[in-house]
Amino acid sequence: MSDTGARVVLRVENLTTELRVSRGTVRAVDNVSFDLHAGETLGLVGESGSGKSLTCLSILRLLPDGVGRITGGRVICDDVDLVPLPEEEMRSFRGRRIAIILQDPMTSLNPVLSIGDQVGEGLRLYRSLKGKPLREKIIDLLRGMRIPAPEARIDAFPHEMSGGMRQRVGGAIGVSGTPAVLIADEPTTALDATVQAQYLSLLRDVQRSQGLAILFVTHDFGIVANMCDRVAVMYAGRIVELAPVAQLFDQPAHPYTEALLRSVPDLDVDVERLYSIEGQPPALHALPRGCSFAPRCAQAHGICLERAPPMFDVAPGQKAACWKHDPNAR
Amino acid sequence: MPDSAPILELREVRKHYPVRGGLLGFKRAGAVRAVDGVSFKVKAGETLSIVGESGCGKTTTARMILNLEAPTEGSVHFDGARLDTLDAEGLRAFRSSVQAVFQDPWSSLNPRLKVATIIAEPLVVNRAMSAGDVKDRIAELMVQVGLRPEQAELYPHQFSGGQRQRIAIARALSLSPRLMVLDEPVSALDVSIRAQILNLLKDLQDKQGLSYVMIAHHLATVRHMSHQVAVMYLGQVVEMAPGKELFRNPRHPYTKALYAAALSTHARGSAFANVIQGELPSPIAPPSGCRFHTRCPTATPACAQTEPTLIEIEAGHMVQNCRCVMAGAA
Repeated sequence: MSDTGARVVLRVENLTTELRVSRGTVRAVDNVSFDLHAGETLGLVGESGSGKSLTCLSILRLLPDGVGRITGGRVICDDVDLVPLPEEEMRSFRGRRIAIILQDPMTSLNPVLSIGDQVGEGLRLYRSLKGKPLREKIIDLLRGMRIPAPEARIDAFPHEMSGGMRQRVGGAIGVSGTPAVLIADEPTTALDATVQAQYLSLLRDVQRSQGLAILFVTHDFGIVANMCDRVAVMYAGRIVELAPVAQLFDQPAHPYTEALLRSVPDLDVDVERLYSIEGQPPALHALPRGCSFAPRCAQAHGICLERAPPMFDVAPGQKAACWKHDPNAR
Repeated sequence: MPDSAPILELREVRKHYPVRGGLLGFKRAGAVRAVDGVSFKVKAGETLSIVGESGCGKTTTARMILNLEAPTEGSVHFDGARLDTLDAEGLRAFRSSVQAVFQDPWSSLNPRLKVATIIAEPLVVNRAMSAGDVKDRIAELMVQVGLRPEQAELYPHQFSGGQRQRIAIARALSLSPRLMVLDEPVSALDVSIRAQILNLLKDLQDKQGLSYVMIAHHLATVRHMSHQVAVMYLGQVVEMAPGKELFRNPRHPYTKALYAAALSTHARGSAFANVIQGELPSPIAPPSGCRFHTRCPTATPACAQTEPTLIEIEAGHMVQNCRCVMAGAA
């Protein structure tokens, strides 16, 4: 999918979020910028602690009170910057313009409310639907997520459904407010392989029929290859590479992306020994001075240990935060 | 490798858990047929992996191999001896020879014990060793798994996930086992760390002639690690073959479905074409005939009639002789 023509539905600019921890504050999201276009899927890839989930929570301003705080940058949706918005006004964006599907369908649904009550909550609040029209709309949404026998399931409770069905309910809640942007935070990690594939293919059909933009958080390159149009790779709170999906796999520009792709065993290719990245991701309270990946990078040299690299243009649509792409250095 | 005697053999193993019904729970209402007639052999120095979705019986199979559960029918043989005939002496030897590494290194290590104590525990319980010898053995084990001996005085929370999994491996190695059961050994770890642990496990196998029974859902990892792969569905092995052969030439429709759902990074955007529908039926009342027929894309009414059996379709390649497999072979 081309990212040139489609309208930008979400623009994140230099978003920075700090967390209060026992050792002071850490920058968990550091100057993150990207555009999301109508109808496209942008993958947000990274390891635990890389800041991908906190980026999502920051966009929706759902950071835990007193622990996380946005300290800089803008999040623009419908020409409005959400960051300084009063909480009252922020509510009209959540669910209606930007919705989220959470990771674990076992814990993200309320066990004492029926499926219908949970899917219908947004419709009651935002669209003032009630009675028969509300019930019909809920059944429509459940049918849209291919939940069998929606007329019966509307009165069921979460414990009566399998994990795959519960995650479909999560999807129905997500699209109930007809948002422009859907944030999917690892929605399939709790699901089995065949059920995951069903869910992803369903999500893609829903996206096509509604022109949704999806920000898809994952650490699975198989999902990236099959779901995403573009990919942002995060490491230690920063985006280190942003690229169209084919470019990312064929010519990764950042040494971290390259090493990560080489270290994952492939379904169709034999290797005697896996390439392994030595060391481990840095702790956010003790980031190295220069590039955060430099201590693990086979290509690191002088400047990498001194100064953090900005994003350099590498190819059309592809950027990477690595000094080897500095045009002035050649 | 010469055709050596298997170190582990399962013969028609079944494990049924009774389901109680009635007002006071005395009535026997049925049985969960968690494992229903599984047979395989593992040779010394080789890895057999079990793949399948949740509820297929892979964990119950592993628990029977570890002698944590006794089979309802059939037998488990280690080194030629039936487990249920071992005397106290034999059981002690068995427990030293067969060890396990679990998925989650956050919950499998006691947070109150120092690493030295964790690794030494099996030695102290099973071997009469002097304090000095134990200390030497701990240092030796830590070096083997890529940790520094001076880290023995630290607590688990002072280590990252990958290092914790190394501690768990060191503990499992302490009694010089011959077989290790690896239950999803890398799925809880960060992507950039997984290759380190997989390489370590392969190195240990090469150096010490260890045999592994691995449970995993990531097919590419399974292919990379395994000599033999058994695919389980609803308590039965539906197909079993050398890893590369199985993925190059899958015969059973369920194996094909799993392979299609595995989302290769090469099949960009084109996956989901062969996604199967439905979810795993209940193991209390498994479908009649071929157990996969309720989800099989090529099923006919006849598939519900005859129960297929595992046959050798090519040298070393076992598959259930359900109708569609045989039609494909003809």
